[in-house]
Order: sequence, then C-alpha cells, then structure tokens
Amino acid sequence: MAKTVKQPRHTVPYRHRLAYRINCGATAAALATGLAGCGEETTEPPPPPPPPEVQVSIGGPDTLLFTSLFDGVQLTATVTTSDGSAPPAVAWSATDGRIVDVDDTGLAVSVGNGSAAIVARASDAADTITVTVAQVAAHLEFLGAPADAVAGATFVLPVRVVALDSLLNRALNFTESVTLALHANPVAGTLGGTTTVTADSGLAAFTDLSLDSEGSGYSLRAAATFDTVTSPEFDIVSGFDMVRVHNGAGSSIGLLLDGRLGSRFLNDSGLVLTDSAAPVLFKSDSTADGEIAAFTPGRPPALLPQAAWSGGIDTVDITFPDKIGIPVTVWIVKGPFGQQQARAIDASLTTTAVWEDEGMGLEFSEFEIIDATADPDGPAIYNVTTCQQQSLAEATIGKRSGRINIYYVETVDGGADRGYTCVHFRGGDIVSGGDVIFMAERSGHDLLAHELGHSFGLTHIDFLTSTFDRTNVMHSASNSRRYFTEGQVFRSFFDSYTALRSLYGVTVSDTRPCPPFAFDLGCPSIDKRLWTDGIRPANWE
Amino acid sequence: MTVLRSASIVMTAVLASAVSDARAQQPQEPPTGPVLQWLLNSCGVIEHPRELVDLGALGPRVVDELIAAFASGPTARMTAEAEEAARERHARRRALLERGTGLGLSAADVALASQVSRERYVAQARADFEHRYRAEALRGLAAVGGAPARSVLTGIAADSTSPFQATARTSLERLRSP
Repeated sequence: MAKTVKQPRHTVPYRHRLAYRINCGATAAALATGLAGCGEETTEPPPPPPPPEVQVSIGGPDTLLFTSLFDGVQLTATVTTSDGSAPPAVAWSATDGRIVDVDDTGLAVSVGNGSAAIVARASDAADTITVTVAQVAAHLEFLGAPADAVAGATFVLPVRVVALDSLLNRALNFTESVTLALHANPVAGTLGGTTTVTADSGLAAFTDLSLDSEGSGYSLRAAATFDTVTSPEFDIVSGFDMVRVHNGAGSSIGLLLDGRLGSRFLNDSGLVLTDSAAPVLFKSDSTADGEIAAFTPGRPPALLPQAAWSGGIDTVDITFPDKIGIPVTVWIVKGPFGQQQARAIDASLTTTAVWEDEGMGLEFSEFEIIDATADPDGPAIYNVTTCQQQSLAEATIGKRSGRINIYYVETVDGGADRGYTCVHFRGGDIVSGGDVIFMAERSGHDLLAHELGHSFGLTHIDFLTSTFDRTNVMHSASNSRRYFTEGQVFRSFFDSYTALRSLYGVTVSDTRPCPPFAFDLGCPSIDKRLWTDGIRPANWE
Repeated sequence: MTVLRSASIVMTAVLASAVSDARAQQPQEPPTGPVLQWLLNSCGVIEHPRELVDLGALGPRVVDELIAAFASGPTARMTAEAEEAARERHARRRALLERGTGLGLSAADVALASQVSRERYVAQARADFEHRYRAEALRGLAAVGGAPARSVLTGIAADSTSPFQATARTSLERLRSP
C-alpha cells in the first residue's frame, strides 16, 4: 500500500547550462571580449544534488474497521529517503474528525459512525488508509430502574432501553426492534401497551406501558437479536403520594425527598415540578425518614423534617417562607468615594440577582453605604492582611450591630481584587459565619455574593472540580460566579453555623451540622442539583 | 488598555528589562494549573489545605510565567469570557433596577446605578479583570520570592504613577527572603 509521491525531476538551471557551453563550446570566441578567462578550466561549482526521494508507508492493512466508538489503534508510519539521509517527521491527519481522530503520535480513535481517511505525510510524500467506523450493538441496558407506577394507569415515566457497543457506548446506528416482557411477575399481572419498539439512534422508549395489578418486585426483560437484559425491580401501587406546595413564587419547584418504598430507602430523591401539587412517584410506608426540602426561585427553601407519610396514599403540605430581608452596611474607607460607591452598588445588584434566581429567597432590606473616606483612622486599614484588623476597623471606622458590615479598602490580602470574610474555624470547618467582610478597591461585582456565602457557612468548592466549575458562586478563582447548588442553598439555611441564623435570626424548623461536602447528617451532598447549573447537569435522578 | 499602556510607559529600566525578557520567554500557552488558579483567585479565605497554592514549590519557571502574565495580561479568550459574564450581569441588573423594589438601595443609589450603560459596565468589568489578573501576578511574585521577583516589584513600588504601586508595595512587604 506504500505510495510514493515523486519530487519534480531536478534539472540544472539554465544559467549554469549557459556557462558550461561558453566555457567549453565553439561560441566562446564570439564572446571572448566579455568573458576573460574563457578557455581556461572552469571553476563553476557543481549543481546541488537533487533532494532525496521520500517514501511514506503506514504499517498494517489498507483499511481499518472500528465496531465501537472511542476505540483506539496505534498506527505507525515508516519514512525512508532515497539517499539514506535522516527522514523528515511524519504529520498525521484525518479527513473527517467527526469519524476518526488521530493525534501527533498516530493514535487513531473512532468518534463517529462513517468513513474517513487517515493521512501520514512527510515532506511532499504521503500515505493513506481508509477508516470505517460502524458500531455493532453488543449489549442492552435499561436506562435506570423502571419507575413505580399506578395499577392500571400508563406509566408516568417511560421505560427506556439502550443498545451499547462492546465498549459500552450507545450504538447510535442501531435501529432494530427491542421487545419487552414481564420477567418477575409476583401477582400474575398483565403488561399492557406497546411492547415492541424500533430503536431510534440506539434508544428504544416504551411510552404507553401499563400493569394491571398492584404488587411489589416486578421486573421486565428486554430482548433484541444480540442480547437480553433484566430490569431492576419496581412496584405497582394503588396510587402515589402527593406533595402540595404553598406560597411558591415561581413556576418551577424542586423537591428533595427522603422516605421508604418497600424495602428501598430513598435519600434525597429529587423531583422538579411545574405545579403546586404533583405526585412524587412513590408511596412511602414510613415516617422515620420522611424529610422533604423544597426549593424555588424567589423564596427561601422550605424544610419539612418529618413528613407524615403513612402506609396509604398521602398528600403532604409544605409552605415556602416569605422572602427574607437582611440589612447590611457598607463603609467606603478608601476613595474615591463615588467610584467605590458605584462598585458597591454593582456588587449588591449582582448579589440580589443570584439570591433571587438561585432559590436563596434573600434580599437586602437595607444596603446602606457610608462615606468613611475622610476618617483619619482609615489609612490604618487601607491594606488589610488578616482578620486581626477586624477589631481595628470596627473600633475606628465603625460597625453597625446586628448586621453584616462590609469595608471597601485598597488591598485585601495583598491584592487590589480580593475579598475576605472573617469566619471562625474549628478543626478546619467553619463554625460561625462572619459578620465582617473586607473588599478591595478592584473587587469584581460577583465577589460580594461569594463572601456573603462564607458568612452563610459555605466553603470553597475549588478542589471538587469534577462536579463544579467557575460559575459556582463559591469558586475562589472566578469572574463569572452565578450559581448555587441546592446542596449549598440547603446548608446556607439549615446548617447550624450560618449567619442567617446567628446574626439575622432566621428561624427554620430544623438545623443540623452539615459536613462541608459529603451527604451525611441529614444533609444533601454539596453538589446536589435540581436544576442545571451552567454547564453542569441536574443530578437528582 | 489605558492601564496597560500607562503601566508600560512608566516602568523602570529594571522592570522593563525583566518584562522584556519575560516576553521573549513567554510560553505560547496561557497559564494553567496552579498558576492560573493563583491568577484568577480573588478570595483570601482558606478552609482546606488543598486550597493552598504553593507557587514557590513550582520552581524558577514560575517567575517567568508570572512576569509574563503581568506584562501580557489575560488571554483574549479569558477577557472575552469576562465580558460575556459582565453582559449577562448587566441584563439582570437592568431588570432589577427597572423593577426598583427589593434592592435595599436608596433612591439616589438606584438613580446612580441606572445611569450606567451596558457598554460602560462591560468596559469597566473588563478593565477591572485585566487589572486584577496582573495584580495577582505581582502577588504571586511575592509568594515565590527571589531576586528577580524583588527587582520587578521594587520597580513598580517606586513608581507613583503605576496603578499597581499599592499592590507592589504590599507584595514587597510579603516577599520571601531571596
């Protein structure tokens, strides 16, 4: 399969040919006057040798077939030169990067169904091989457990079966039929609806299934020509429990639910509702762990520590608190006052937007801005290095009690861009949200929401990068903070140490010492999301 | 860009030399990993040892990276992202100001904020970001320490017209011994 692209044949340039004829040919006499030394032995240098001919050959067969996505083959290319000189480097490329990707070392990776070529090029020589990617479905899999359903009614959530290739990527070219049947059938129920579905892009969705008999421990079996698979167990119940939400402000309501369903423990199972009353898709039989936390834009979260679930079909009511107003005082210590006043106002507006949109349900009842630029004690805290200067600021500049005080200075922690919340620690954990914040003269508009997050007991999430990006409010290194997770909102209100409780007297029905990150002690994980945050998807399923 | 130009003009000979060297050595790729984290960090609260970025442990090349970051400022992509975030904030801000309630601001403050056009808001956010990025580079030099870092910081700290003078002075006070 080796191919050679020959270089153009190298010829002696015309002026060299002319010189040769003059030196050695009969016409020399006619030009002798202008060509002293004619007739002597020529000293003209010989023409440069032609560049060597280069050959490139990709090892292995001429064609390459991938039956799975994200499969890789290491290609090698041999480069030779006609004069044995050092061969030029090989550059690898693919004619369609949507089909196959090849890196600088020749590692080819399948990325999409179709055909393309891989080219190895060295100088003007090249070799190619043809690559075909055609996924072959090898496995079936249920996308999650079938949701519990009501006897005789169409399943609320469709049952979905996906075809996978041998490397467990969804077989996007699979369009054959998949058939469902009952596998475990504890009470001789009958499966209704369309049970054979043609897959679309590897996914078969069964949207109108029903089962006629209540029972616990049903399962389904899905079959295609190449595989069969059995689903996790699910239940058919007489009805669903309901949650009815009161005093909501937005059309989207998120719930985190604990409870039990049969023998299964449900911890922080999530739902997003668009109605004030909606089925929660399970029927709990225990009040022991029946907590409900509710979230919605424009309202603080609501917590019902012990939902009154019974063995029957229940409707539980939960009420959002009204929006909570908190006063703050801003001291502009380092001027120009007008410039820093504008900066503080911008920071307050950005904070208000985050609080409203992210289900914090907070608002500034007063955002007081005081001009302290003429204070003779001001220069002593222009450059704040530690919170040891907190007491100095309070004593010399001033402090309003019962609220968070924010001091705009020149630099914080050595930087003109930085902020610092004076929180209190014990064993590495925040034990008290602080009531003093220092902001530097160039601090970003999004930084105040971050520092107030510290006051509310929240910690940085930088080293949890797999579940957070820079758009989260509590990222320490960002210019685009916007989002809180529901795990963070929960902690802001229900953690034992938040300033919302210690300073502003916000009372909630229950508090708990949440661990900063993990889910434990009755708190959801810090990265629990009911709605998508920036590029991060919801993760409550 | 005004900040960039004025800072460049008033650089002392020592600083100019250091920055020039850094430009020559400037890596083609923008800072990544701990250096980028340092440059974008804006909060002094440290709750966990893993948050501590020990630039000094990364070796002498960090000095070049930080000087280059100070000289060049953020990449075009970073600046574009900061501008886009500012545009989104301004749109939300305008909606809040039009509503006018639940802000806690005085009427005079609301009026003041309402005068800020989107263009001015975004331009200010961009200038602030560029300044912050370069100021963090100076803080980084203080954290790394050594003679080259001291020389750069000394030059800026002595320049009363530099917008980075305060940061440089504070950084010099924190500088590690050479």
